[in-house]
Amino acid sequence: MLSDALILLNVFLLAYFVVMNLSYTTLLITSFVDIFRHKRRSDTFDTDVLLNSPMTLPVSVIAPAFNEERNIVQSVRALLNLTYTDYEVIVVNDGSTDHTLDRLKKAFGLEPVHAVFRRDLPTEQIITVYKAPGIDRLTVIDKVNGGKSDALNAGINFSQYPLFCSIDADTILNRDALLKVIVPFMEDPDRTVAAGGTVRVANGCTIENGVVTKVSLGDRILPLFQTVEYLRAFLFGRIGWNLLGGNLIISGAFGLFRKDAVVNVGGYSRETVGEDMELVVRLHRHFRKKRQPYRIVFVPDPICFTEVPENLSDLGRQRDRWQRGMMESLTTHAGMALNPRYGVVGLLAFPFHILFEMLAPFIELAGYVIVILSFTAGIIDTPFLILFFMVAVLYGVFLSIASILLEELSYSLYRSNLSLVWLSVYGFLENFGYRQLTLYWRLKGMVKFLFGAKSWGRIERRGFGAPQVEETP
Amino acid sequence: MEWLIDGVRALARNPVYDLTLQIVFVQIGIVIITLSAAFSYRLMARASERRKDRIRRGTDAILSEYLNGDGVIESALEIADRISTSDMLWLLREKFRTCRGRSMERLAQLYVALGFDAKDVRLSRSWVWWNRAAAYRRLGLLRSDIMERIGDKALRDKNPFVRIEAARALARSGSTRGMDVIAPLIASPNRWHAILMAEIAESSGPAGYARLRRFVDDEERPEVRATAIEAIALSKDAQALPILRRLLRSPEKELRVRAVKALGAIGVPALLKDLAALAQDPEWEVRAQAARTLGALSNDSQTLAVLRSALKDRNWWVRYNAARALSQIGEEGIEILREESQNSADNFARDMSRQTVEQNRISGFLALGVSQG
Repeated sequence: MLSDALILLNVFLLAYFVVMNLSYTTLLITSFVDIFRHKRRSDTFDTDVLLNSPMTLPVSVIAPAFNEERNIVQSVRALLNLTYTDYEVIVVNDGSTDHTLDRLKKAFGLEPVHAVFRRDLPTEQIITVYKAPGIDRLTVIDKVNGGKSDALNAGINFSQYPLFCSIDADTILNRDALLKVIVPFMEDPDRTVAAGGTVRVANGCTIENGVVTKVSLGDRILPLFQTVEYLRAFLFGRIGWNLLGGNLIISGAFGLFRKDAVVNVGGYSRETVGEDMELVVRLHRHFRKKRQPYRIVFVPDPICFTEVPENLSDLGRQRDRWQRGMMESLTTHAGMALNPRYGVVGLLAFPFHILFEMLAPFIELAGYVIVILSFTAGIIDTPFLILFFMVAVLYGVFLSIASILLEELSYSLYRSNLSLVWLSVYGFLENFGYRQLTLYWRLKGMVKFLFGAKSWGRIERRGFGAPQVEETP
Repeated sequence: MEWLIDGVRALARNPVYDLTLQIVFVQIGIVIITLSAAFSYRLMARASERRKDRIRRGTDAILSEYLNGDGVIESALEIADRISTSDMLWLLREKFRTCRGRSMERLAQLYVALGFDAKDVRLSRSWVWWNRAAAYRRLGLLRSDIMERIGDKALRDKNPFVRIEAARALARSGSTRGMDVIAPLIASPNRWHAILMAEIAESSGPAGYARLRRFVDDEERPEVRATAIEAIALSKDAQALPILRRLLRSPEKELRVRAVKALGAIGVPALLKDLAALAQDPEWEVRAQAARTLGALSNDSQTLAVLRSALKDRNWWVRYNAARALSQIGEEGIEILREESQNSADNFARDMSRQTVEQNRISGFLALGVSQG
């Protein structure tokens, strides 16, 4: 009886494994198609036209900051030096308990002003609004702590332009990133409601005056593993979904949105730790439900750099949060799954994310347990066990190497030949230990989600200079 | 070791193992091929970059001298004897991206002297659309009569980007033929198209502007009219003022907003009375845009009075634009804002005026970058 059940479970696992890998392969193929199509199209147009044209849409850049004293001045300076015609920068100090606001006041000579704004979205109380002498485009808002979503909503209330770009305060945008992420809005301003760019790992890169001057890998193990992960996530995951029109995620680190659309759906939700994904899913839901034409796109060439965790505990907390955020977004809008009304999003993207992203840690763990039990019960033997493990590992390695190939064919940011070797090596090594660790953290996230945990956790950042420790609520 | 030998024997016997083993081998093969492709591409790309750098370094002095007008074409032609035809072609095509004005004319002379324009004509028959688009773009920059010959075919191309490039190329040789052909393409909200249409009109000269005005006047499709108004704004065509004046009274809100914007962009302080009348428009977008444009065009007493009154508008964006417009006018506008911030009976006007006065004091200058409305 037990052996029959185990055989059935093995068959299920095998089917799951095959369908998942086929889905990933399809995404990979569509990524190759889309990235070439995109590159050719962007080569055809001259972005200088955008830079010099009064037709280029103005953008409000919103940077929520909580205890970012280490990076904040450098980040804001970088934001003020973007290559773009018409934009404003709104930094929202979300009740920082460190010297974030003091640093800003000192660096930019901020002065408090009487502020009138539209309260399109409810937020925690605004304490003071500051302007900088001689820098009209900079506004700093000091408010009572309410979390990242609340800070973003406050920034939206203060924004004066019809498009806003949400970025993390510790993110460094390439100088031309806004000029590139605006392109979908220029091409189709009526339908485009959101566009996201590529996020790369800043650890190891040389950063001078808020500008990434040299892209390199660095020598720390965890950021190296994450570099491979980011390549995989952005170069084939999101690009792949782009072609199918089923992108569910625009990274919170860098995304451009149409303000009226976001305000219409109620802004960022304060009820989730994955506010970026939840907002995108809600936008999909809103427009599909109303049968209004819209598009949410991922654009591969606007690039920003973000600092990733360098120690296990921080990485664990981040993955745990990501898992919870994804589960919150998918379960809140579970009604969209397999619902033809929601088109590709409901019929493809939702089932894919539920099956192969949200439940993947659980099924992977179940897989380990069932394989061990089957092995103990004599249903499978050592050679098969080894062979199956090899198949799984090799497929993972293939996806990583294919992402590296995509990077080479498209942007080739990592200039040294050695970095290519290291990326390949880490693409192989991540299957032995790192993958299992992330599985553990994601499972932890699943459990916490089931028990209703909402915390963001404590994050330690080195900063774009020396180490530092930050507290988050 | 015994378990390993047993395992291998078992593998040889069991067809499932055999299949799995084959999958493993195929996967290993695919991984090796993908890895090799990444490394080969990297090595080839770097080698190509190094070679191009070498060529650039070896030819830059002579080529720059010629393009700047200090050298003669013969010395530039000598470069073609030293490097391969394909390298020369690449070198000159790269220059098309950076050359402007007189340098572009000299580049075109050199390009034609080497017979590369014929290569572009051949390339215009390529099955790959971006090759065709690039070929037409260069032929346009050459301003040769070739485009007149092949222009009709180019304008019928199945790819819209190619048609746009063909229209641009034709415009550069003074023909407005392309404008009519690409009008259906322009009938979309794509903002690139307005930019391109303005560029095409500008390249075509007076005939291009006249065609643009006819689009606004005669065209039935509102999308084409709207894009053409944007293009007129970009072209700053003052001859369009009578048409824009008519549009200020258009029943369509979108056309009124665009006409007001265009008037601001053209920058001629005309039609102020008509603009002031729009401060009472039923649509807030029109009122907000009118406030913005008035502030940019005039500082006379009537404008100041209209903007002062707009500070009390029921819509936030109208008040915001009016306050910013007043601050941009200068001391007279700021004075009105000061008075309103202290004495206005209207809370909204008082708040907005106070904010603008304070921000103006700190920032020194407030940009009129508000596009809502």
